[in-house]
Amino acid sequence: MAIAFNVENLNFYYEDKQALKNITMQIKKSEITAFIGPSGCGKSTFIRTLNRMNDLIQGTRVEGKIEYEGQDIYDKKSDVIELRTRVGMVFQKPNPFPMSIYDNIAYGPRAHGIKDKNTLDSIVEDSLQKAALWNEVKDDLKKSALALSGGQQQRLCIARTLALKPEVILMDEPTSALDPVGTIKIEELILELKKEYTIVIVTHNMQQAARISDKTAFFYMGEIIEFDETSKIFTNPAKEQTEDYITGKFG
Amino acid sequence: MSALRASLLKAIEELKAEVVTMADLVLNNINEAFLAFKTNNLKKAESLMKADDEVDQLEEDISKSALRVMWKEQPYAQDLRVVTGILKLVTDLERIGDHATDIAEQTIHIGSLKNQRLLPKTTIMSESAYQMVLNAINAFVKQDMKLAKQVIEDDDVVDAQFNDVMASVTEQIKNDSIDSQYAVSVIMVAKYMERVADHAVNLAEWTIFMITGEHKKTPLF
Repeated sequence: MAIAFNVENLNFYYEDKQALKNITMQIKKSEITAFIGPSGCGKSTFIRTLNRMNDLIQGTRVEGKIEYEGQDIYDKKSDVIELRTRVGMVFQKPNPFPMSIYDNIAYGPRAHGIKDKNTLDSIVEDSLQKAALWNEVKDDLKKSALALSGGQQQRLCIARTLALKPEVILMDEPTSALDPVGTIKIEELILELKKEYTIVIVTHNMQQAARISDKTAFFYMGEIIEFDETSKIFTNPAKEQTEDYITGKFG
Repeated sequence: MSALRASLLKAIEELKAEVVTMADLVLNNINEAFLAFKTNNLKKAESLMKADDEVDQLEEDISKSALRVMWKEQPYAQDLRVVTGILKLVTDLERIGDHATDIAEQTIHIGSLKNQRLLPKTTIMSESAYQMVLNAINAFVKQDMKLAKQVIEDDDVVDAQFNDVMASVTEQIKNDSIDSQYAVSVIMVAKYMERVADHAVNLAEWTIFMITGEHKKTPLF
C-alpha cells in the first residue's frame, strides 16, 4: 500500500525540552493509524507535526524529516496552507464556529474563494452526508451550530474538515469529550471515512484503538516504543513496555 | 508494578486457581479410574460414575469466570491469551474427566464377565497417559514451555503403546485365548487412555499459546 507520510529521525523541542525523540515511521494511505500512550508521551505533539500545527506554538523546533506524498513538508518552499488543506485536523473538543450549521461548513470553501451558491450548497450537503450528520440537520441548516449536541458538533467539525476535500484526517482524541453513543457514531464514521481518506488518530481509549485502527503506535516518553499491526499490538506485543502499558501494569 | 489494574490481576489469579482445582479433580479421577480398571475394583469404579458431575460443574464455572473477566476487564496481550487459552483448555480437562467415567463404566462391565485377565500393557499405557496429563497441568501452572513441548513429544510413546495393546489383543483373539466381550472392553479402555493422552497434548498446546500466541505453530491473532 502506498505511503502517505514518511517520517525520518524526527526530533521536536518545546524550548529546551525535547518532546519527540528520533521518530521514524511510515504511515500508509487508506489505513487508520492509532497513536496510544500515557499523557505526555508525545503522541499529540507528533500528530500535530504532520500538518505543522505546532508551527503556531512559539519556541518550538523541528529536526529531521517528514515527507507527505514524497514532499518534505518542513521544506522552506512548502506551502503550509495547502498542506493543512490536504491534511485536515479534528480536535479533542468540538469547536464549531458561533454561526449557522451551513456557514460552519461553507467557511473553509469560502475562504478558498468559492462563492457560487450552488457549489457551496453541494459541498455543504456532501460534507454533512459523509460526516453522517445530514439526515439530522438537513432541515435546520440555518440553526446555530452551538445548538447541536456534543456528538453532533464533533461530526459537524468532521464535516467542516471534509468540506476542504482533504486526503488525510488527523484526529486528536476526537471522542474524549463525547458520551458512549456519540463515541460509537464517530467510530462508525471513522471506519466509513477510511474508504476515502487516510486517518491518523490519537486516543486514550485502548478499546477504541483496538476496534478501529489497522496499525497502532505506542509512544512513551517521546519515543515510539512499538509500531505494528493493531492485532499484534493488542494480542502479542513484541516489547515488554508495550505489554505493560496495554495490560495496565503502568500508565 | 503499580496496582493500576489490580482487579484484572486478581481476577486472572482466581481464574488460574479455579483451573488448578478442576485439574486436581480430573487427575484424581483419572488415576482412580486407571486403578479401578487395573485392580478390577467395582466399588471404586461405581463411585467414579458420579464424580464427573463435579468436573462438569467446574468447567461451567470456569467458563463463566473467564467470560466475566473478558467483558469486565477487557484483557490484552498475555492476559488475553491466558483467559482465552483457559476457555479452550477447560474443554480438554472436561473430556479427560469424561474418559475417567468411560473407563469406570467399562470396568463395571468387565466385572460381570468371566475369564478376564489383565493385560500388563494397559497398565504401562495408563501410567504414561497419567504422566502426560500431570505434566500438561504442571506446564500450565508454571507456564513452562519446555515441559509443554515434552508432553507433545510423549504422545508418540502412548500411540505406540496403544498399537502394542491392539496387537496383543488381536493375537489373543486369533488364539482364542481371550473372551470376546472382554477383548472389546480392553480395546475400548485402551482407546480412552489414548484419547486422554491426546487431550493432554491439547492442554500443552493451549499453554504454549498462552506463552507465545501461537497454536500448533500458527499465530491465532
